[in-house]
Amino acid sequence: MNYKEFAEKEERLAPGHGLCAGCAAPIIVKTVLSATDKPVVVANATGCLEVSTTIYPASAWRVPWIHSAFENAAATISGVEAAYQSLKKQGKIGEDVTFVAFGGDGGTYDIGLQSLSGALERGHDFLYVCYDNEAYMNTGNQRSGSTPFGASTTTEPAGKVIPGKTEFKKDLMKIVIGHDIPYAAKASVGNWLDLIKKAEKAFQVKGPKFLLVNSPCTTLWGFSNKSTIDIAKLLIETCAWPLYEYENGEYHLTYKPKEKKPIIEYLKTQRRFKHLLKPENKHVVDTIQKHVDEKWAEILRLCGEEE
Amino acid sequence: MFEILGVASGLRAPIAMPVANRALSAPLNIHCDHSDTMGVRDAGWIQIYAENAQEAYENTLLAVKLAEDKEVLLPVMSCMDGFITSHGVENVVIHEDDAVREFIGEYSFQYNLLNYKNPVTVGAIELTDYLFETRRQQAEAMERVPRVLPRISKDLAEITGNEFDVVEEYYTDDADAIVLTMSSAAGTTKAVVDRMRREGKRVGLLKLRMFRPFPFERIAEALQGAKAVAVLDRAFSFGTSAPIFTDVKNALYNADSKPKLQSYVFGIGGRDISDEHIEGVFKRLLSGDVSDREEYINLRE
Repeated sequence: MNYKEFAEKEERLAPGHGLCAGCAAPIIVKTVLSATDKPVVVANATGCLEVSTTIYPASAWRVPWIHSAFENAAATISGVEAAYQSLKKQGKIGEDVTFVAFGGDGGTYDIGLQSLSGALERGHDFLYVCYDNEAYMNTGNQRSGSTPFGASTTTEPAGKVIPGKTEFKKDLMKIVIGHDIPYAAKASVGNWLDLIKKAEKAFQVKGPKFLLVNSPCTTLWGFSNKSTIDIAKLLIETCAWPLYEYENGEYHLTYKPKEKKPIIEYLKTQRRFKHLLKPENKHVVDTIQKHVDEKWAEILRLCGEEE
Repeated sequence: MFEILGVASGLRAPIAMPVANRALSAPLNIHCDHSDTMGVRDAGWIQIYAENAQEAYENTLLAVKLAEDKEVLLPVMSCMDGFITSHGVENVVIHEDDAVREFIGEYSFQYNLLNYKNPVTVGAIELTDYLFETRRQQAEAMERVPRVLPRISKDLAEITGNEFDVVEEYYTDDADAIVLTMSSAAGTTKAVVDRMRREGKRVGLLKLRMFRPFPFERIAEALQGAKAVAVLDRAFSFGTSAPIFTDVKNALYNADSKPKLQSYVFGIGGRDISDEHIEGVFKRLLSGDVSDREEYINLRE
């Protein structure tokens, strides 16, 4: 799909919802859902996206949508898909229907991980999309398993004792790929064409599919709400958010920056990393850079690319 | 699971869930008591309890129809005693598949998530301006259960021969002493009532079959005329009286005559209750020995 075709599609998530101006989540939702023309049923974990799009009696969803709890978006969509398979077998439903679950990092890396694992292992035919804004933003920036090293959160605030989060981000892609599912990809709102291609590809695969999408949070990462895409692009250019896919057991890099930017270029754009610019925290930045370098080298190796 | 029970009832999901009642941790114990379902009695689910395997089977058929009834649309727990009934070996009359299939029928969706031509949003967020009304609707659905139940029960009885009622009155009419309990302990109590009746003692059993919604009027009626009643709960309710006892006392507040009430807790963590224990309860009731305290059966103190 190109930009023109995309622009002509009806948005499956209507405008007028209550998400922050500059939030990446609705961009991710609209992009992913535009990548298929089939009827779609959506399940949503508790989080920003869910609470901001369905404040009763209004709903921004133009497709059937269900929310059950924080921890079970994958289990919920499993149930819906299983009901569909049963009705189809009974001849009570004819059309091909597609199933998508959306969860934030809290609902995916942490609280919903068990339910996601179960759904992947059982082999349901669905796409799980994690919009990763790297902390519990709906409740005001508490750390999650996805929060990056050095980020200041309300539960690990940067101060005299610790320089923000003291653990690295969980490598969720490894956990998901460990389930030997047919398709998993890391994507970003910073590369729209790459995201839509991955979504289109995912929709053509039968079985469980997974997209991990970087979702900058203007409000709690602390940057101007016109800079969302720039921030996401910058992260890609530092190689800290490698764009790759895992397809039938093989890794492919889908974008390689021409020149790898130092991570400090990215860190200095956001309030959550502001403390890292102090001279006494240079060792923290060094630690982050070393980690980025190691993970990038690992991805290049997996994708069979030259350093 | 507690949170999800509220999701099921709040979404008015017509679920029929068989439950083998078990103790709650800690300490870990996998044997029977009613702490699990009593602990979720405010979760908005209908709760019915089975005395034996036959009832567990037939109650579960009833649960499906009750949950799916348009006047109700609430989830139902069909409870049986863990191990005692769930793993007990006893004869069960299995009804004809075709008859049961016809009784259950086909559920027709009012709102179908798979109907993408008419998309619905299920499980929206409701804030201060709407949740209260939604909860009131759940309460009203619960209130409609006693009205709907006889119709479903009658249809099921055409297959099973057993009519489901919210309580079972066993020699309560002229009884001086009544034991009120649920589930498998009711079976043991029936044997004791039979034996004591042969000895000329005016004793009876009031078996509670539906705990939510609680049949206040039926219980108050059935206990009229008794001198003393013992309520046997298989669960603690820490910091207050045992659950069934609390509701029975509530049921009698506006009754014309109020029997003396004794609360017993028994069978925690699968602790045995024998016919001798129940006979002991009846003897104390008949002698007028009733205390204001919660007492315990077969407990080392």
